[in-house]
Amino acid sequence: MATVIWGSQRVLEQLEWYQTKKETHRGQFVKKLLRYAETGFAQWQGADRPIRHEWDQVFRIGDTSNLFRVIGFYGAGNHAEFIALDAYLKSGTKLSAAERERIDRVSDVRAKGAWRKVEQ
Amino acid sequence: MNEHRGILHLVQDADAQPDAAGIDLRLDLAHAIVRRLDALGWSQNELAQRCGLKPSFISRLIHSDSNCSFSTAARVLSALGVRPRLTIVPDPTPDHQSHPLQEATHAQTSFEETFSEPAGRPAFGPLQTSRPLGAE
Repeated sequence: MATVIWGSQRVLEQLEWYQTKKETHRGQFVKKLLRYAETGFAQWQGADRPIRHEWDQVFRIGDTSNLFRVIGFYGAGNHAEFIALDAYLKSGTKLSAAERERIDRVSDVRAKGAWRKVEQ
Repeated sequence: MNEHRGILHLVQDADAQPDAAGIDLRLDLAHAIVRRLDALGWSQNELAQRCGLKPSFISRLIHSDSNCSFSTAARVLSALGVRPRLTIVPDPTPDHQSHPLQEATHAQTSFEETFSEPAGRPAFGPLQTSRPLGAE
C-alpha cells in the first residue's frame, strides 16, 4: 500500500534548502522519500531502517550518509498517510535538546490534531 | 519565511541529476532486500551473518547509501534466496525522448521485475499547522 505524504511548508522549504546545499548528494533525499511513498512506508520502517519511531508515535525519515531528517506521524493510524511537519539537519549523531524539543512539538500537534490538509 | 518552489520542482531537479539513475538502482536493490527480509522474517544482522558482511554495510544498502559492486549485490540477494537480473528500459527524462537510439544508449536498470510495484506516484500535498512548530 502506497503512502501519501502531506508536507508542511517548513518541510518543503527544508527539502529545497537541503537539495540545493548538498551538491554531492543532490536530489537523493527527495528520490528516496518518493520511493518510500510509492512502495509504502511500512516496508521501510524499523529499528535499523530509514523510517524509525522516535517516541509518542512520531517517526523520523533519514539516511545513514547524512543527518537530514524529516519528522512526522501517520495520519489515520495506518500507513496510508504520513503527515510530515518538520525537517532539519541534525547538529550531530545524538539528538540535541533543541531537536528533542522539535520532536515534542510535532508530538503535541499530533496529540491535539492541530493540523489540516490544504487541498490543491 | 522563504518561498519554496514546490515538490514537483524538487522532483524534476532530482531526476535531472547525473546520478539519478544510480540512486534509482540503489533504491531497487534496497527495496528487494527489505521485501525479502520481511518475507523470510530475518533481521539485518542475520542477513549480514549469512552473507559474511558487516551489519553496518547491510544497513547502508537498505538506506540506498552504498555504491556496492554487482558481485556484492548478487551475494546479498543470493543469501536471501533470489537472483538479480538486469532489465533495460528507455530513460524517461525529456532530454532522451527524441534520441533515436534511446533504448540502446540511455539505459535504466532495475532488479528483478517481480519486485516492481504498480505504476503511479502518490500525492505529496501541503498542509498547515495551527500551532507553532518552533523558531525559524
